[in-house]
Amino acid sequence: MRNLLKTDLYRIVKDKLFLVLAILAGVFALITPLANFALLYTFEEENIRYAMDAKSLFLNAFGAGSNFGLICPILLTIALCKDFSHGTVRNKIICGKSRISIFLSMFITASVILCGIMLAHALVTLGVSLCFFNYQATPFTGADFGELMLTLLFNLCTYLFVAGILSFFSVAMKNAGLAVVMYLAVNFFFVIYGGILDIAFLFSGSENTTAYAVFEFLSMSNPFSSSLFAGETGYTWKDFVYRLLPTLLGTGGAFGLGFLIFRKKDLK
Amino acid sequence: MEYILETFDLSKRYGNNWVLKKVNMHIAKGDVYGFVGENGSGKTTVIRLVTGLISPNEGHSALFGVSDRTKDILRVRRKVGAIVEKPSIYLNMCALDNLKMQCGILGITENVQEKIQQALKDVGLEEQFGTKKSAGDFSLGMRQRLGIAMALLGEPELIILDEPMNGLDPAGIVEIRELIIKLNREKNITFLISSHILTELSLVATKYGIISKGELVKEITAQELKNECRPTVQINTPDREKLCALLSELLPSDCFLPTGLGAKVLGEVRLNELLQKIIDAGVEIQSVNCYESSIEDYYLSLTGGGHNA
Repeated sequence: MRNLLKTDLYRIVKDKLFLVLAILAGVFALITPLANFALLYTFEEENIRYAMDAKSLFLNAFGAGSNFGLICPILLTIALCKDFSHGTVRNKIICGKSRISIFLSMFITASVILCGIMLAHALVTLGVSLCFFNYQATPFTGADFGELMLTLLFNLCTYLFVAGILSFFSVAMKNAGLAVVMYLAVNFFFVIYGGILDIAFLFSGSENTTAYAVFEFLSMSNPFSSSLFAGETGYTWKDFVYRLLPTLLGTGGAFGLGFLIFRKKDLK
Repeated sequence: MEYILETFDLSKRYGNNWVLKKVNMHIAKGDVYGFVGENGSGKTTVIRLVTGLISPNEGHSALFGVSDRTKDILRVRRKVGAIVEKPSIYLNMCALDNLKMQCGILGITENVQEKIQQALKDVGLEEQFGTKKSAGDFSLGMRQRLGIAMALLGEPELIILDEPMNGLDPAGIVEIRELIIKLNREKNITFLISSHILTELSLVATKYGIISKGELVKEITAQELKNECRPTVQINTPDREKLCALLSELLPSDCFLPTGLGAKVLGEVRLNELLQKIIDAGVEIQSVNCYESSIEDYYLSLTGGGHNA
């Protein structure tokens, strides 16, 4: 298993697409704060200036439905599927590697690369943002640090879910084009579904109603929700049960389904 | 006799179409097993089944005496190297990186450089050690040789090559053929080679498996095949159908074969009498050629003709 993982990571890192990913991660990390800074000085709107800080730019850098968060999984899918298009996955089976270890290695590779590169992208975004904005309007405290770590955990779990979906589509389709199309379809579905739910949530009435509770759960459990960071009151138990748990269950589901398909898949 | 590779009623179905029907194949240590069949006959399907790339619907196979129904099959598969259809190599990587990847998959951690160098030397690609030329820029023959080098890294006892001569130029065919003979003789590696280029296969094979329409029609050693190859008379005529109808009256059905220009008569016949009867029946004869039949004739007589073989 360790050997497979090492070779999988090696082949992705040696791929030119990885270099493209690294360049894009840097470019997006540079452009986003600069564009926001330019916007601020163009409009000089008080409410925009108030809303803009390095923290929100940092957390938005993790958004799975836009910018680099959308591009990164696509390029990674293409790199992952090369094992099928080059036929090199056959070497692993012929050498006596079990299908579970091959699939697990693919999933871990996707998770490590995705989480690693998204984290690097967000950290560079934060670094650049701090050149133009304050971290936040209020002074940074120990509680803020804890909240930040939890937010990172939630976001990285989202990318575990993305890695699960990518691995699933890669083995189900065995073709980069189809896997990318399927991933985009799922991504857009969750983004649109999240948008509709956010609106429904706004009009769902007071906090004590059933409709509010249902929409709150549906909205929070959407792994691609763009509002995935703590509100003013910090995280509550609901964030763990409504956000983290469904994301982890979704990851497990995608992994399980992917393995079930790969276990019996004919490889030509 | 203990076989390195054996299949037991191996069958495969896609939808309702049985592409492989109860194949029983036997490969002993040291054999160069020529797996012969027309396109679509099921050669590659058998290879995919025995290498674990696809699962059978019925029957099973055994490698080194271990059934593919047991978990031990994963352990013994390490003794197998295979190229199925095309060499499985990373085209964006150089030969050295591809071999390093294979070492990684096989879990080879000691003397990696030496083993890679030896494998490259074995296949005549030693000049690729240390160069950065990506495998995508290699010729087809070089890719085949790189694929074999990757297979050799695991020190296999059985190498499976699916259509290794496909797309190769004459020099490339000779190179691969000589490599197979060298590895078989010097390292006692057993080979399973599928091909429909029968004359080429006959230069290396010590045993043949003949497959047609998903069924293994015959297993025969090279020596037995030599004994089986009968004298052949090719009779060319513009009245092909009339000739075939006449021959079917005069000879047993396995003693003649219709061909594009007339018919082949197989085995010892009284040629004068036969030709006289054909002339008496009013069939015009353009030419008559007598020769010793080849593996191709034998294949055709077994399978009842074939368009690609």
